[in-house]
Amino acid sequence: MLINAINLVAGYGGEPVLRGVNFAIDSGDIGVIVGPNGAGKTTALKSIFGLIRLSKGSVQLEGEDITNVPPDRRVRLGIGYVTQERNVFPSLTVRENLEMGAFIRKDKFSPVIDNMFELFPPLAQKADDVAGQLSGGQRQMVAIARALMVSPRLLLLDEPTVGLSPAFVSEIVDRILTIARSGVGVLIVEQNAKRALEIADIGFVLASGKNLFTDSGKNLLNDPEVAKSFLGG
Amino acid sequence: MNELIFFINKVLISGSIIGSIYALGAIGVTLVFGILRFANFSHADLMTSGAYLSFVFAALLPGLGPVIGLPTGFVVLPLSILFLAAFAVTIDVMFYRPLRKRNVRPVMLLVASLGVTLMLHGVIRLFAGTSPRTFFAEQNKDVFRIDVPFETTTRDLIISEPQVLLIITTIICIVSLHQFLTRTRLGKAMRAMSDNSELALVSGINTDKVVQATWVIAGTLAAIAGTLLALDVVLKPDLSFNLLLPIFAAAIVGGIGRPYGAIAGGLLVGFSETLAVFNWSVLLRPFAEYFPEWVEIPSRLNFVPTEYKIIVPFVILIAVLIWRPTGIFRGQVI
Repeated sequence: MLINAINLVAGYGGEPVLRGVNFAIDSGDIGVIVGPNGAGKTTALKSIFGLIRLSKGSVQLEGEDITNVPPDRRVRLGIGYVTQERNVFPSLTVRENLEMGAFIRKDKFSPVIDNMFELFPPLAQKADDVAGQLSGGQRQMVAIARALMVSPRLLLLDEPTVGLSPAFVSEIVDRILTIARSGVGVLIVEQNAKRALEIADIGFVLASGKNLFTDSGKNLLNDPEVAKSFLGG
Repeated sequence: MNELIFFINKVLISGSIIGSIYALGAIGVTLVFGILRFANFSHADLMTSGAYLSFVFAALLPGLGPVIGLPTGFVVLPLSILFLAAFAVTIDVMFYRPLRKRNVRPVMLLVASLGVTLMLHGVIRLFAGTSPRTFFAEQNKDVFRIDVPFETTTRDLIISEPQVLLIITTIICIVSLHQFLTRTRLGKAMRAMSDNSELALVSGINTDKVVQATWVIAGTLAAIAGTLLALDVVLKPDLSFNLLLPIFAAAIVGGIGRPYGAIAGGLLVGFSETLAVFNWSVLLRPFAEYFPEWVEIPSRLNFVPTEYKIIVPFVILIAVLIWRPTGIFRGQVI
């Protein structure tokens, strides 16, 4: 297993938001976390990245326990994280945003930046524009590219397509498939459960901080019970 | 023509001098705010500390200036910069970092900075006393009188050596800061952290190092501003504390957290001050014959009497806060 999160219990003080959830995905797999509002999807992602202290449970990256490793060290270990909002540096140019993603790299990273411009061609033309002036979709591309600059093993994406126009949604989804095909494990939190499960190798349906269903995306889509409760019939 | 030269001396030259000081101070304030999100009230006393450091070094190495042909206080500036930058980092480690680790609200850091400023106040008076001192006890302060080649002029353009050094050094500081912020990894990381500190952390940027760099720059600029101000006027314990409010006005007017805004804000506040206290009847008097007879040009005609010039930055500040609270360069809202 690339990432194995076992029995996570976590919250923001008070009642825990996560009440013992499990996630596990392999390299090159796309895992999708879906569920109703307040199910703890974003909290799950944050606790895998180490932004929230776990009160119980453990996180393992390729068998190595990283439960107590702070988030900036997890970046070094190969976990990239893209938050839902405020995920670019608005006053920096696109190129500078990518350079900041590579801050921990000691090697020459200009080839990696070129790779990113190949992966997201619209960014190549905007390389010297400040990120704050880009459209929502382009900004999302900058955010994902920034996280990919460290060549992570695992990429965590929090609602990467929220608020984007349909054209951008399919472009982003397409890129996510490309990224996974290159061997990176991708774990996505998604509001639009139906579309997300279509590309999921494995889907995790959360409700009230617990795993409700865990299965391949296809099986979950065809499961009448999942359909009834989460996919609007 | 004499009147015009009087105007250049009193407004353009004086404005650039006070504007440079405000700009240097405001950059320090705005950088610290951008990175650490609190208004650092101790910055002015950091400037004064820098001036006193230079004074001490100048007293220890009195022969240095005459050898090079510049004021000794200016020649020892690299030493003061080194010490004050280290001092600023130490203050952060001792007072601000423990508070940050506890995740206190920014207002707590602001109060802590008031504490630091009172401490610096006390320490300076304890060691140096309250009487004013001059850097030019054993060295002459050169004053350049530039003759303007017009037949009708009898006045000269007047600018002193420390003032020339101040303007040149300010330009060097601004250019190097720009290079640092746009060309170097650490500088870009500073801008990134100022944009979004959480994202900086998530990106793997070493935020502790960025904070340290911020204090080094703040200390450097404070040492330069304080020393050059003391060279221009005199060295006294309240040298720059009185400038704290105009400096904050400059930072806010420029857009808090925006270094280029701080430069613009500093010059704007500086020039507004000199324009407001300028005696405009000097410029009107040559045109007296064109006015109707019943108009009498008063002997003094200024917007604000000199002793009240402190109100100028406040008027600008209030106007900006009402009509454009993010400042000229769209910075953070406090």
